[in-house]
Amino acid sequence: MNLSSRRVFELTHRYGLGITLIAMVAVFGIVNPGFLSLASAANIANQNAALAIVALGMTFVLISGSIDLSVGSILALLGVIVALVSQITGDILSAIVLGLLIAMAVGAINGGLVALLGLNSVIVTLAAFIWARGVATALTEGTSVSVAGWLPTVVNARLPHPLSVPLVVVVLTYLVGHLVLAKTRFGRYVYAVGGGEGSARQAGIRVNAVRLNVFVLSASCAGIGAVVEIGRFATAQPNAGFGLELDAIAAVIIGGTKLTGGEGSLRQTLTGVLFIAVLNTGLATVGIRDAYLLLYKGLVILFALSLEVVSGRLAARTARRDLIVDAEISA
Amino acid sequence: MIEASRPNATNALSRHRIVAQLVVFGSRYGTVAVVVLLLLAFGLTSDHFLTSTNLLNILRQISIIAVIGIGMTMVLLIGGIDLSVASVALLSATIAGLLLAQELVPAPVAIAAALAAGAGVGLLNGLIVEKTGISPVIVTLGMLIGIRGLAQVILLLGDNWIWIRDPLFVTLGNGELLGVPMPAVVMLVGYAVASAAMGRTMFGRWIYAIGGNVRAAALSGVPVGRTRVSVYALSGLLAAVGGLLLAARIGIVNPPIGRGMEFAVITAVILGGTSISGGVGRVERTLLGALIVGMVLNYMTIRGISAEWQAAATGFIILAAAVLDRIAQGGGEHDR
Amino acid sequence: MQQPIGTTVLRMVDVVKTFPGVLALDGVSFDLRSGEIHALIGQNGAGKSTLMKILHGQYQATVGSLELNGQRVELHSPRDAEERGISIVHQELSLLPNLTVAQNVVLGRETNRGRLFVDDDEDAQRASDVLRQLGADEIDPYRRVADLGLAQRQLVEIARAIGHRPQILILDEPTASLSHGETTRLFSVLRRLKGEGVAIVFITHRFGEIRELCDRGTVLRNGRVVAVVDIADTTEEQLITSVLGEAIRTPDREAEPPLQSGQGLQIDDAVAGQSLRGLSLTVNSGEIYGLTGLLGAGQNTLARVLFGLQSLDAGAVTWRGQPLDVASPQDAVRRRIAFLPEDRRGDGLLPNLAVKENLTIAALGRFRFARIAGVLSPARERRAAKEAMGRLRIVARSEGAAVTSLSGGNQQKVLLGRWLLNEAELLVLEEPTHGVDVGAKAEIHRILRGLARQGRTILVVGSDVSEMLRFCDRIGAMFKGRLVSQYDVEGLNEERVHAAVQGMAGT
Repeated sequence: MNLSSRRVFELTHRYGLGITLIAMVAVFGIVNPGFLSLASAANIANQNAALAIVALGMTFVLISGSIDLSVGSILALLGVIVALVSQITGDILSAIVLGLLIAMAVGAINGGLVALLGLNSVIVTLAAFIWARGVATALTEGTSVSVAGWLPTVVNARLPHPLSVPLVVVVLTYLVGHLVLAKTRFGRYVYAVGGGEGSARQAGIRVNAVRLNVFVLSASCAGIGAVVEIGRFATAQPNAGFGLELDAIAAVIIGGTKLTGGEGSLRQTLTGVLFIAVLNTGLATVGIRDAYLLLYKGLVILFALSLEVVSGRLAARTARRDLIVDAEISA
Repeated sequence: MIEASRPNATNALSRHRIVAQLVVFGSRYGTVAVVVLLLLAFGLTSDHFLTSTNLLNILRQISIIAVIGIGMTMVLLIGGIDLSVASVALLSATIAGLLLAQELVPAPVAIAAALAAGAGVGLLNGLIVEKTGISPVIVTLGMLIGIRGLAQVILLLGDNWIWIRDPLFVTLGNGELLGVPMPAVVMLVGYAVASAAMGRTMFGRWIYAIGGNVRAAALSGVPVGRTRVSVYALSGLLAAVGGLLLAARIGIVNPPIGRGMEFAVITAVILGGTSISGGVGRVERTLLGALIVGMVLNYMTIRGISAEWQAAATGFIILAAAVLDRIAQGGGEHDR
Repeated sequence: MQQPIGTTVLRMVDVVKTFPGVLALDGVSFDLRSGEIHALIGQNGAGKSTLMKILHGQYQATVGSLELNGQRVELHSPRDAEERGISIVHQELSLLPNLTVAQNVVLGRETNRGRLFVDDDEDAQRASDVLRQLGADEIDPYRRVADLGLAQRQLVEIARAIGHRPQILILDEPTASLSHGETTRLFSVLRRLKGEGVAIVFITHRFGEIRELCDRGTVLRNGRVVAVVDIADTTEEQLITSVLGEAIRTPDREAEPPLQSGQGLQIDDAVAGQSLRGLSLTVNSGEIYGLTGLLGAGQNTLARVLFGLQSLDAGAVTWRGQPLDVASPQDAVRRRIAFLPEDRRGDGLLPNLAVKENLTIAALGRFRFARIAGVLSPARERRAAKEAMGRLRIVARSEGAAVTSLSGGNQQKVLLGRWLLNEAELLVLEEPTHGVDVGAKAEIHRILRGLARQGRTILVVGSDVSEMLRFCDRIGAMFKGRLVSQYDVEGLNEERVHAAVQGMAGT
């Protein structure tokens, strides 16, 4: 087998992540055999459903060339709002609908500032990261709020393992999301805007509308995630989702979407989400204490990211070099 | 399209020129103007704001963020970012605290060890970014998680709670020099040195060149790799200084310390007008940015606004600052 | 939608355009006939770009009107213009590299399946059809644009433009990055379109191309029309005079000291990957050597090797009698080797800094304050910058002005000035007058000849042979990694060089 360096890089890029994932599962399984059960799989899905949904919205945002640092805070804020409204009106359904509308409004604020005023998305969503959680904490005065209504019962309904309601929600959102990203005009325009805003605008694409809408979408995903979370716990916590945005970004990038925009897919995101999900739950299942958990998590994420980014870059560079060489030979 | 006579064309020109000059003036002195405006507004609406005690208090409170902000400004200027500063601060406080608590070494050595650790982490950040080409967002994100974990592991050795009783540290945290609180003195000295370095040295010029166009800088002979790694190391070092100041001020070291501080630092830097994409900004302005945040939070505390709403307000401040900055620029190219 | 050949399809009447502080167009009238290729000529800043942006709907005229096929129209956006049959191919290609060829060709007008969905295969079919029309069937519509070479990308861009079935096609400096062969192919495509009645506006600085391709020409100077001519009846000198407002004088080369070889650059059998396959070449100090070749023939690789961006696999480089092995750009700068990259904006300028800082960046060590390591003296810097600006006649508000506020030609001079301050002895320049207007070109030639007179060694890598004939002493033609021919410029016929770079023997 003629293993050129290009081939090595390509193979590493394509299979490196999968191999690391399998290795991780193996390690966790050895330490705690219970990890390898269907119940455990359901556990992974439940604990990370919100992450998966939020990562979907984040994928759209990253492909379009922006970033959303506020999804964790929006998730907390929405959870709090839905819970409070459900307490006030007694009707959980209207609370959920209202909550999702508010989520879209928050997304529109972020998106409007980025798209219409031209502010940097890092700054806008950083600000939202701070103010959304601040409002959430202020509304609840720091305590948690319980959720009135049928939501917790539905979300926690027992389905045959490894199925669960949160998992079903994830699957449904990803199906819809894939349809939108890969098959609709809007999806194509998200890639276009990420590939080159100026050129996209020249072609008549309403860049501002696309930009604004990806943020609305991202916030809506945070809203859906919020509903799932408050359903799971039957309460809304103002510090929910702390650090979720970082996990989501890590997941999307490990999966292969580029931070610079223009590239990516939901299939790739799903791989990255799986990776982070296994990591998160696995570390907890094997009983790592809080302090060490962060340490290991940081190390593994760094490793996975290097694998993805470095091997990908090296594969691309060697591929490009071959392209130039081919061109010169035939010239 | 209007059919107008030629004189109108020249009128339009002169009108445009005046607007352009106003915009330039605004963008250059905007931050200072905001600080002055806030001083006036707060001073007029509250009796307690403009007292010397309160103002010195503000200086003391912003000093930690401001010191770390020096390094952060430099990192942003070269087009990078350092999300790990809060974790590094915790690490440095932990190391110094533990060494002192166990009475293993005298205070200056403990300080040196803490600073070395901070610089070491920064160096590591810089080397990884430089050699692997992974985005600094990602690398320092990983460090944020990992170093906090490391610090917390070390803290376990001290049962998650270390008292800081060393006299040098007590002075550092609570002492005064000519009536100015010690942390503020450290901050002012730091800014004086940094400002001179950025404006008057080759190293400072290299930073601006790299932030402006890294390829052009490299092709002009600027030692890009070395400079970038050094900047990250400096950021780590200054974060360590911040951590020591924090430990000195609070008097204890425990796990939640400094959590989320990186965002306050970035806020101060951005409020000061430094651009996220690099190449534009000045270290001195970060001090102004920190002052703005400090003044607003202080005012809210004086007026009895709860901590939660203060947090919310911080977010709105950033937005307001960004919007004003954008208007002052007059709607040029979109920043994304 | 095509009109019979020869009818006027476009009239722009008395167009005035102002920006804050600038009067860009001062009553310009321009007309275009179907089935003609009309050259739009003028220096940078003369208003060509602005006029075309108005025509393409990106700007709106402050005063004045636009008539298409005899009817007054108002264009509010590029999309507006495209719907009325006006398409543009920009100098900086506006393709999206992360999308496929087909997706780029149909961008903005995707095939609909239902109101929301797109149809990849139908789009690919449409793209294939258009590409075939251009004679570019070998381009695969499913291929990502990022994987295509520059010439092919340009064809995709043109496919995109004519996919709209335009009446009017505007091309802005389309041949700037094309090789001779690719240019020929482009011209045959354009002639084909012309035959179908499309009216083409061709913006270029290259007079050779104007002569070869265009029917009529409009010359702009300082925002006004100074001439509208039939190309066949006009000489190059007449055109240049209209553009500049004065006759151009070629630099005086009589009074120069004799060239000293052995004090210059010598390359022996250089091999680097597949790009250099045994290149041998000598450049004497005090001379300007122009190196040309097709894309990928190796001349750019040589430039990179000399500046430390790439290393040789075999062969030797000797500079002033000593072996030269440059480890990195930093090393090169220290050895007083200058490099002017082709992409001025991308690789040259520091856009966030002033003219002064852009000038001094490669020579900071010279402006140290009292010999203290690393500390700069603002006064000495300012003085050196002002002096360089004077010597090079750089036009700017002051040395502290933002470098982005300068014109293209002046920016190029700033980059040259950077190496003057560095006192570089060996200058490797890629396309030193790329995208620079005629007047500034002449000045840069003058500056380079002055540097050569001082004994510096100058290697110019370029593709505009007719221009290189104006200021180089010798020309070398490369083909497939080797030097195949070398000529003295005296009495050299441009065509021989074109033949040599394509590998034709005996030239």
